[in-house]
Amino acid sequence: MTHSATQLDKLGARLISGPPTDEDLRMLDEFRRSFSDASDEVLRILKHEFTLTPTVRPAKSTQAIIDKLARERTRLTQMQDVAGCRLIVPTMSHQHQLAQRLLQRFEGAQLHDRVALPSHGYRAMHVVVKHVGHRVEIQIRTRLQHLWAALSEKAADHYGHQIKYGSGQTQVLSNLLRLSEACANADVRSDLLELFSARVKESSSRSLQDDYENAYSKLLDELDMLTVAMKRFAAQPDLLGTNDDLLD
Amino acid sequence: MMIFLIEYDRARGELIEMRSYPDSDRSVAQDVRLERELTLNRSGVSREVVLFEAESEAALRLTHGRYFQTLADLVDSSGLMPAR
Repeated sequence: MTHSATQLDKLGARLISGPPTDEDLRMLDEFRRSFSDASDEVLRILKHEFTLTPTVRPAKSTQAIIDKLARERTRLTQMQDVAGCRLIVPTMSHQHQLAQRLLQRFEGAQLHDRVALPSHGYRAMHVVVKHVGHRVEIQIRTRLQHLWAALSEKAADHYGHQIKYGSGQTQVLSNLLRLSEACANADVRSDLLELFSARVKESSSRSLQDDYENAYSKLLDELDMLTVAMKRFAAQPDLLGTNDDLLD
Repeated sequence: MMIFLIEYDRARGELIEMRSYPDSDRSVAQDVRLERELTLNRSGVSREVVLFEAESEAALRLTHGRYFQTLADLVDSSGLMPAR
């Protein structure tokens, strides 16, 4: 049985007002399953036209749906990321190029550029495409953005999911934001290094080669420092102290 | 692609169970997901019960490490070495 948008939005309202009934969960499940065709089509295109194999989450969990409904006061039928998939790419250049290709391939697709406009430290590019009335969100993250997002998600399990949206334990929030900035800086440097690498390969200049080696080693140092900072965060996400404690 | 059914305890940050199904058994996996959710809900147990489709378990672990790893493991397995 297909439910009307009004019925589904009423379901959304019930879900945030108290524990769901069996009937509510069955109805939500039907709604969830209605995204299968759209999700399959996006996967088919990504596989066959882009030679990419994402991990697909055909539909958000009930808990995640309820959290989002409560947090954003949105309607269930307006939720853009019920179905989604995730791709991890090496650098920001790859991320940008892939987002542009997806926007060209999927008519009417929308880009949510959370690299340009991070959301409480979360950086990624999300391309929302529509197929037969159902939206599917394609998340594109660099490896560093992905690692940060995984740390944030895991910390949120312990400290509460509000930390992903800018409230809650302030020291955890502050540490996550600083790690996010550091990841973004390293991502920019990785991108520049990749461009530099292409130039070095085309040139026989010894000094250019030396400059590249220096830049490469600086990036390694930066990533080492970032890894140490992330380990400190992992050991104690609410580590108190001055700015020097986490990143220096 | 393979289908993975994950039951995760957010509060404890622990994977409770993972089952895998061939792509052809999607509706079976969807039914099992729903039944599990109904059972947990009736018992008042709060768990995330979610389906994923991935090329392999390794691919799923890479893109959704949070379900499988501790904070420390996530950092340790990241291998941030840039391509030369």
